[in-house]
Amino acid sequence: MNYRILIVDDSPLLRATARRAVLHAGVRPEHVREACNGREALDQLAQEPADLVLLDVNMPVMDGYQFVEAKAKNPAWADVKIALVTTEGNRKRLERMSELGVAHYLRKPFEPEDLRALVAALFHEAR
Amino acid sequence: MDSVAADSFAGLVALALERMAFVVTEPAAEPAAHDVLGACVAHAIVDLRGSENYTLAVGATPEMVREIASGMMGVEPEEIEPGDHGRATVDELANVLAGELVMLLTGGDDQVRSTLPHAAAVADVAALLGGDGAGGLRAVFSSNGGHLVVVVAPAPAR
Repeated sequence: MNYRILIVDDSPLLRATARRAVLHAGVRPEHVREACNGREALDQLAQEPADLVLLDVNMPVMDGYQFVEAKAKNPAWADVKIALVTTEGNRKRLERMSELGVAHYLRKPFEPEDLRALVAALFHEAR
Repeated sequence: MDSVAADSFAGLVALALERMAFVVTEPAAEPAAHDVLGACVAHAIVDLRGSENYTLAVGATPEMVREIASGMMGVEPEEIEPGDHGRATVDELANVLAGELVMLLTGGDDQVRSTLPHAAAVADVAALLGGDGAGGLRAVFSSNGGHLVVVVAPAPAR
C-alpha cells in the first residue's frame, strides 16, 4: 500500500524521531517525506499529495496554523489528514484547528511509541 | 513563579526527559549551574510573553546531548556526535520545556505565548542565573555523567 506521509517540523531531531516511528509503523521509506516549515510543506503537497501530514505548530517562515488554513482552502487536499505533533496546548487554537479539519493531536513531550501507535492506527485504518 | 511552581516545573522537566528520551533524572544540588554552563555544547533561550513573562534557558553538556538525542532517535549514544546534534537537541528541548511551562502557567488558556528557541551564549545564560532569590528556577539535571542546565527567570513585561 502506498501510504504517503509528510513530516513537517523545524527540528531535525524531531523529524528523525518521527521518521523512525513512521517506518516502525510499517510505512515504506520511499513514501516518507520531510519539510522544515509550513511553506515547504505546501510546496511538497503541490508536487505530490500525502495521506497524512505530521505537523508541528511552532515553526519559522510559516507555522502550523498558517499551513492548516492554507491547506483547508485547497479542495484537492481535502483527503489529506493532519495530525498535530506539537507543544501547543492552547484550547482555543486547538479548537480552531479542529474546525479546519485537524482530527488527530499528539502533544510533546511524547514517547516515541505514542507516535508509532498513532501512525500505525491511521495507516491500518486506510488499508 | 513561586517555589511550588518551580518545584512543579522541575518535575515536568524530569518527566519530559523520561518520556521523550528515556533519560531518568531529577534536579541535583551538585554540580552548580554556573559550573556546568561552560561545559555545555549548546545553549538555547525561549521567551514567554503575555500575562506572565519569563525567559527559559537550556544548556546541555556533550554527554547529555548523547543521552537525549540517542534516546529520541533510538540509536546508541556512541552514534551521536554532540557537535552535530547539540544545537538541534537543545533547541527541541527548550521548545518542549517552554510548552510545558506555558501549560503550567496558564492551564491552556490564551494568556502566554512562547517564541521559537534561539541560540544563546554562555554569558546570556549566566546573566539569567544571577537572579537567584527573585523567583523562577535554576536547576541542573544529571544522567550518566551528563548535565542539563535549566533556567527560568522572570522577565520584564513588554
